[in-house]
Amino acid sequence: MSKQTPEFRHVENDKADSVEIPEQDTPANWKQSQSFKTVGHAETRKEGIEKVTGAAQYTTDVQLPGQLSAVVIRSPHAHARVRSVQTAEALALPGVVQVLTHQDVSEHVWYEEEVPLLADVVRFAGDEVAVVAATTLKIARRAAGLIKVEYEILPHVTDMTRALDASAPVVHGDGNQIGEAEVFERGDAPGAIDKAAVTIQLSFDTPTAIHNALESHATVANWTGDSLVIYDSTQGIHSVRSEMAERLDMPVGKVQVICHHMGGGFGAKQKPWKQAMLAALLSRRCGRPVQIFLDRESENLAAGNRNATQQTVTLAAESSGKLTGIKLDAVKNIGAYRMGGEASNVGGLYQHLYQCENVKTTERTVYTHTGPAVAFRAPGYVEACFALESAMDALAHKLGMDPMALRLMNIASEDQVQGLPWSSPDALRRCHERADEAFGWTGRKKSQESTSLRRGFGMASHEWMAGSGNPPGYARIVVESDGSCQLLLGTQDIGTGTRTVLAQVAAEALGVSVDTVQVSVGDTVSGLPAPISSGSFTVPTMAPAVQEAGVHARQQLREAAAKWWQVKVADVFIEDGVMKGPSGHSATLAELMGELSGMVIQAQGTRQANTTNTSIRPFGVQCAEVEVNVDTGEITVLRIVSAPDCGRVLNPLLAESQVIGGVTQGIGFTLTEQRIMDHELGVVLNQSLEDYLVPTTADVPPIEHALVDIPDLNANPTGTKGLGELPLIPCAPAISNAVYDAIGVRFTTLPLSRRVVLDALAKTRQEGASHV
Amino acid sequence: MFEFDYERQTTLTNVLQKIDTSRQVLAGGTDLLTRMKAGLDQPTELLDIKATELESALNLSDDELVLGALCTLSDVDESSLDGRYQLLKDAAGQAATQQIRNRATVAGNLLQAPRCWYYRHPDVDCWRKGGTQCPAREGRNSHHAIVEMSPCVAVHPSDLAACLVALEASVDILSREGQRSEKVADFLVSPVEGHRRETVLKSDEIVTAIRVPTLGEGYRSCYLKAMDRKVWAFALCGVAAAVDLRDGRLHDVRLCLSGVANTPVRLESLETVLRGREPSAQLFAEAIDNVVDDFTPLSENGYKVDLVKGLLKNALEKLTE
Repeated sequence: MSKQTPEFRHVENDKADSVEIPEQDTPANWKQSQSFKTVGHAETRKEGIEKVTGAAQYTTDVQLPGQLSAVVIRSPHAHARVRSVQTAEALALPGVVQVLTHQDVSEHVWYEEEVPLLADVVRFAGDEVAVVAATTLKIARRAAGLIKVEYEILPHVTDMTRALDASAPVVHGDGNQIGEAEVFERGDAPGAIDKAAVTIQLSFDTPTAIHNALESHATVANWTGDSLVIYDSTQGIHSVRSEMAERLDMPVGKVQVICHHMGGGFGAKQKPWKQAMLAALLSRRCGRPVQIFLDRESENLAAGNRNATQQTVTLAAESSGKLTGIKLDAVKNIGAYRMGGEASNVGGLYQHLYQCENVKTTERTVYTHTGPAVAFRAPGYVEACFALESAMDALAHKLGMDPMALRLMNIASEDQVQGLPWSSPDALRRCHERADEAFGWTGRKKSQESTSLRRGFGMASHEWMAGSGNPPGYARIVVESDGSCQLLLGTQDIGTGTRTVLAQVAAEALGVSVDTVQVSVGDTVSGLPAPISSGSFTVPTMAPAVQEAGVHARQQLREAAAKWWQVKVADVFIEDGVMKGPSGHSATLAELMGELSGMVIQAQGTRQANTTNTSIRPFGVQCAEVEVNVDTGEITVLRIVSAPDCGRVLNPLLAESQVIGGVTQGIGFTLTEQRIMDHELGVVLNQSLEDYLVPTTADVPPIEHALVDIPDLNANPTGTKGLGELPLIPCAPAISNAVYDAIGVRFTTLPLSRRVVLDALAKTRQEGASHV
Repeated sequence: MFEFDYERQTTLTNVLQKIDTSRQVLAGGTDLLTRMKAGLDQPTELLDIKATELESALNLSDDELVLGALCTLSDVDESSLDGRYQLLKDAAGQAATQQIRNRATVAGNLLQAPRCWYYRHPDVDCWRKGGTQCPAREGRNSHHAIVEMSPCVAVHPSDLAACLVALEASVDILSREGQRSEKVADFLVSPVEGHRRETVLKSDEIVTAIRVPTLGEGYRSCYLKAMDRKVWAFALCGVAAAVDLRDGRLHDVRLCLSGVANTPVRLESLETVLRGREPSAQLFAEAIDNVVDDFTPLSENGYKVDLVKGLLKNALEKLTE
């Protein structure tokens, strides 16, 4: 272990008595990583045993005395007026306690359009019309079948291109385009394109994709007097608390929100959804706890999706490969309502990734009679990266350049939108180097091909608009009377391992073993407000607050020991959970705390604002190798190497889990996943997991996490940035570019189903034949 | 879901006395229960036949291979059947998931209703479930039929059915009236007005066994299945192929497609062209190209024609390499 003599050592100590104070016990010095005891180590999940033994409590596991189950009745029509809702038959069923329809809750509105919570006009197949609560789920389901709704069917439009026609049925107001187009412009992109030596223009379609978290949206609401406890499957316990308090017109302090464990959110659980509000209203009326959880079909119809996009991309370059112009025209299908939360930012990647003087992005958002879109793991960037990085690949081939060399030549030296230097200027270049080394990009060679089976290599790069940190964030550390440590936080662990990494940060800052740190997250009572776990913000927001709390707690421990031993504070240090003093003094934390007669040590840390003199963004590069059967259109991904820059890696095991999860979702987005609508009928045809194909283990190849691990100390004192969203962003273009390399067909539509691949191959054959 | 009774049956005689349209047989239940959940089937009572004397064994003798009514897909997948019957193992092993294969029976596999997303949709009317029109015909039909057979353009979901047709298998059928036998090729039918179903099994009949005539020593076979993901999906298309290859000559060829029509489609003309010939890439390419004329794809499933050609090519290459 490296040790140093600290500057603040007591100078009067003679040599024999001198103590060496470990580097990590000096005030927050996280510039070097090599001396860390737990940060950077592959600690296993704190909640692992709870999860694998089934002890972990999810929202659907909550069973309170007298709890009712409620089921939502949804519209089968894309657009209709609710004429009447007949509830008598349902209410007559033994066990049915309450039915709510539009009239019962007309004072409550939902979505940014402020439409009634339970619809009087339904605007997508799946829109909520009524809700029934009963003593058991079985009875509630039977009762739901007995509720008769009379609809006046109205014309609908579910296709985003048709929605922009002047004659199309209107979802809200007088037109389907929401507001003006969002335009970003620097320089003169059209002029640069006119003058360019080389141009590429391609139009892309990305599908509507569904989050499909294993755990669906779920709430248990329970009133006690005028206080409300909400168990919610959410990415933001405090955002649910404040929004529900506002909606119910009650003090924030009277609402408690709990989410101990959750089975994924991926962006779709950033805010309270209708089921939370309906459960709260039902519980208040019935005077009993009420649970609502969505079945898979409801989840996939009405609880968010990644909006489909159309993107026309034009790139202009000099013959050397230097980019001179980038232009994007994008249309996004938001669905029937705006849910709010993290927006789909398609233009951002075009504006930031490459050094280019002339950039113009135009984004239009369109209403359709379909389920509402909402943030989905790197919203906008996943869609944008497929289009931009496919176009860059096409440019590289047109120029006869190596795709990675073209990207390296055009790396943005700074944030050109804000005019700021990057907080970690070498990060993207380093991602390229790590991906190159780990994948063997340079010197790659195709092997084992046959007339039917072709192989190819592809890559893509990206930056990401979030991941910097979303302050404020607060942490509290309590060293208990027995010497054990509590870390109390208002954040939540959405399945990523937040408990574990933040325990590591606390343990490192305190100088104790990670096992002695108990972490409390997921309960608004035990922690001060923390941001939503979105935008890969949790670690870079919470880790610095935890670090600060840890440093303060350690200082108090040193002061307490110094007082006990009658020595100078500077001569006291803590190592592996043991207090040590200048003359052989030594005490465990338990012994020290025992001396304090019941007092505890408590310390708080606050995440400071982000720096404003640099632009904090994470980056990444991904490489893929694929095999394509040209007879049957089958694509097999053989391997993926992902090199994301998330600043300092706190835990390589959990980081690798994020990479595996993100790439797996990326493979789904690329090869198998899409919501399929019948536009005539206005209904979703694959609302269940039978036909909405998420990837299975058989679809997922070996995924290698090429560790980049450059602490970004301009970002915050822990050097961390977000990771969760990064591995998904470049996956589709890396795979699609590899498919191009294999069979020479440029795909502009996802997913790359058999139909898409075989139709494209047939077209290529016809064009080839007509050229002869 | 609606309420229904369940009774575990111990004798076939009892089952035959009770069975009718409202009292249905439950074996694996992997399709029946999904139909019941969707409201497509509403029996008042389920007669569980798993404890009856019906066979679950798979017996290969000199004359025939017999699959008992309770033989599961896993039993076939994990059987020691030799390479002549590899297609059965390929088809059973690629169906659904391990859990479903452990439960689902081969007989039930033949009795599945279509997986068409219109037919299965709770809010969509369709001809197959008693409506007037088939919405898939002009709708989203990428998974649908490329052979015109019926007002319904759903495809038969079974992989094994194509294999059993290729093997010229038959089914044993039992009712109160007695026993009868049908070739699988005749047992599976296109739904027509007055009989909107995919089998000729009557509501008081049950399948007791499937019989496959023994193949000669020169045969080898395979089933190639195309899906939009690697596992756990119904076939977009599949090819069941068996050849009797001896002395460098194709003495017999059996080819049958899944995923192209309401029933498996045997490619007799292609079989005839190939029979007696020496296998070669050129022969296969020419012969396969000639088959394509018979297909009538819909708006979104033209790719299936190419897919069938590709699967046939890959299958014939695999069996003759």
